[in-house]
Amino acid sequence: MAFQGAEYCAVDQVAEAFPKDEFLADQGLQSYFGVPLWGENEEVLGVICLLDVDPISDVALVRDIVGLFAQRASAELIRIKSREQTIASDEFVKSFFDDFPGWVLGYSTSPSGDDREIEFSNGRAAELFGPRNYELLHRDATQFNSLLHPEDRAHVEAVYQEARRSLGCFDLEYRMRHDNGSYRWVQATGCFRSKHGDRILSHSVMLDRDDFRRLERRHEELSKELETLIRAIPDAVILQDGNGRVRFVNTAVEVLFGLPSAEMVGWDFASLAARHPQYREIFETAHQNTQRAFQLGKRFESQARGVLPGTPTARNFETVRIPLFHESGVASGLVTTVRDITERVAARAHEDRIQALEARAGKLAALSRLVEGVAHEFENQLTAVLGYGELGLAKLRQAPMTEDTAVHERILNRIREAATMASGISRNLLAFSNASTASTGRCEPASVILAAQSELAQSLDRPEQLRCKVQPAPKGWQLALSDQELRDLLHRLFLNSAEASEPSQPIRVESCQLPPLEGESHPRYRLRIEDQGEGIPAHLQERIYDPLFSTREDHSRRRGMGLAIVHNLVQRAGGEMHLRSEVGNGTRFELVFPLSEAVEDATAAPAHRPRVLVVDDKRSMRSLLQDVLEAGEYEVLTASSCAEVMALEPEVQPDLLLIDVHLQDGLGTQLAEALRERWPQALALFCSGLPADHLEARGVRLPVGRPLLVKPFRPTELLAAMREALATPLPTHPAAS
Amino acid sequence: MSRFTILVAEDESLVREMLDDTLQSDGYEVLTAEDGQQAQRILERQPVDVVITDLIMPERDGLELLIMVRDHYPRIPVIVITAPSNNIYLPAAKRLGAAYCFEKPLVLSTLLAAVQALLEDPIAPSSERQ
Repeated sequence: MAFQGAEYCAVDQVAEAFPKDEFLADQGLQSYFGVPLWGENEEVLGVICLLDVDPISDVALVRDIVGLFAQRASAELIRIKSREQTIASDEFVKSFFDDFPGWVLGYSTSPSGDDREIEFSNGRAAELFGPRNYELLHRDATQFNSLLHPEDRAHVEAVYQEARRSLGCFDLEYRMRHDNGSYRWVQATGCFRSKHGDRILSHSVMLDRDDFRRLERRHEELSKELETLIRAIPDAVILQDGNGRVRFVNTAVEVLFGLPSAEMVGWDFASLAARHPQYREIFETAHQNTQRAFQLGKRFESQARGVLPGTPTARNFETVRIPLFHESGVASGLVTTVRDITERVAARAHEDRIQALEARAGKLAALSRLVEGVAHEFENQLTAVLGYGELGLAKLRQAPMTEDTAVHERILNRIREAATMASGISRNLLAFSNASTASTGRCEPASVILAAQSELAQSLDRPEQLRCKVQPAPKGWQLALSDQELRDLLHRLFLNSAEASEPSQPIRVESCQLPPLEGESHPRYRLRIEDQGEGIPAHLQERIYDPLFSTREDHSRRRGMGLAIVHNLVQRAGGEMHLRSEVGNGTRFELVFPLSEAVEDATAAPAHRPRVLVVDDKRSMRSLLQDVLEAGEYEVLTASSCAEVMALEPEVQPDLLLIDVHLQDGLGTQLAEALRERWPQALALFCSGLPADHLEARGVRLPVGRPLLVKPFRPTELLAAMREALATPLPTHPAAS
Repeated sequence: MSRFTILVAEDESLVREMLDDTLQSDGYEVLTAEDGQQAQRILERQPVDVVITDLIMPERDGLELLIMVRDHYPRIPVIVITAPSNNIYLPAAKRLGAAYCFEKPLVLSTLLAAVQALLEDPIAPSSERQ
């Protein structure tokens, strides 16, 4: 019962009350008196009891005595328990301090601070200063100052002195010397708290800040580098925070917006729109795009063309926005880059145009060959028709006159007329095909127009009908047509106007320079031919450049090739042709050509004759080739072997090499390879008695893209091949223009 | 007076026959060849006063025929007729000694006048082409 927190008393016959308790029966015990032993917190620590072989006679006396013993026993138990607890707590504290990742120490100093003594320490200082310095500090705490970095010493001393004086706290960072001679950053936090006699007690925690400081320094360096980098890049870079406020802009942004960085940083674009009404539209767009970027939550790109304060003319811009988010999903910032892609867009457009032109040139070259072939056959047939027509007329005249003679003569004359007209068509087809094929002709347009002027005027009944106003092209620039081609173009356009006009109506020929298109470097040249004649009906205007299309009802005179040829020439020169015409109000053709840089001596006497080196070991062949080539206006040198070629002076400088593949002392292809270094500009053409596939089967590799002349070849074939080779630029040396 | 002999080299049969008819009708004896090689064989066999040749022909073409005539029969004048093309063959033909060069279609009266002129004055200079 006493264990349950209450006194228990059995005055007599206790063994009988607890029959199972053998101890009571064995000892012959009669009485029991027990009281609980109480702890500090009213808990039962144990029990104390009195047992006797006699019954208790005076219960009150027994209660007093046992109670007294119980009090003493309880006190002793409490004391023992408390000591056990203290020991456990000390061990806990000790292990806590030992494991603490910094130096925990307590020390006492004299009021002046000169005398210092470490009272306790967790021993982690060895990691901060190295074991030797730690030992030194333990032995003599006044050595602390000698371990301070000289630059930090005065400041640290001042802070400590003030804290000591006012019994205050301190929190400061400084550098301490390590055993290895290096200094490490530490953070010291602590207080001067109490006085013990004339000693001042202090506790302090010292943490290693060196890694942190190093990281911090590196971070600063990196930030600076990054900023320099962002400033230097030509794209405009804008950094905004999660609220859309501008945090940073680089130099390109300042240039583009025409505003210093300080005017933009700290503001969002909506506020900037309000602050700078002159740029409102731009900033409002930027504001909308900022919001859109945050809403989209991912990178998005856009392109726009427009004028910015820093760009005098419209430019193309490509903008990339990358929103940044915290892990929680909240917007943390936005990176925007703006790139001026005007040049790129122009270059791409230029490239597309070149490709289109090249594709067109390829098609036209094929068409041109076809047309040439057709014209050739056509003229042959017409020769027979005309010839027989003429023969028929001659016979008719020799024969005696009958009543049918006049009719027959008329019929034959009609046949001749028709054939002559057909021949005109075929010639126009040839001109059309020539207008389509590439040529390297250049001219100074004004001089050509002026030279043609009197000729054009003479073709009119009233020469004063022609009004001419000509401006020369800028110096050093030319038009990519030959003199002859431009003259032909002018004649054809002029003829159209003259036919459509009354003699009283003036025909104006005007030309002038135009500045380069935006993003391009070459100036342009405009040629206008304007009449006040009958005009071209709107529904026909689309078709006027179609070959063989004519606006005239009367088809008797010419077939409508003129404008098709003109159009081809203009396109070949990279130009554009615009028509403005109204029935009854005249027609105006406006031709705009890009100009090319003048080629030296392009206008001088005809270029020197191309020099051909013929290498063939058969004398008869050399002599035939020489005859044909000289007739074709080539300057010809001959050699009979590789050795003979190699003995030639390098100054010989041929433009073309015509080499037999199988020479007595080597392969012509290898010879050409060996000559590439000596005469890099020389084009090599090969001839052989064997066709290409047979040569290849024998391991002879022919250069790609150069036709092989298979013997026996005809002189006309040779001249055509030479002409084609000279007209095609070397693949490794593309034409400069 | 014996008739003059004209050799016509032309691969296009219709033109060849037309020239044959026309020249015969003008009183010439006419020999025809379909290409330069046939023309050469004829020249080797019998005398000819004037050669009229097309330029573009299979086998030996007109330029080669011109060279052959120039080298072996320098006294026979050659008239070249050819379909208009890109102006590279006619100048070559002139330099190889063609007496006259005409582009097709021909005005026959001009051709006949040229033939006549050559027969009257075989060393007539090369003239302008028509």
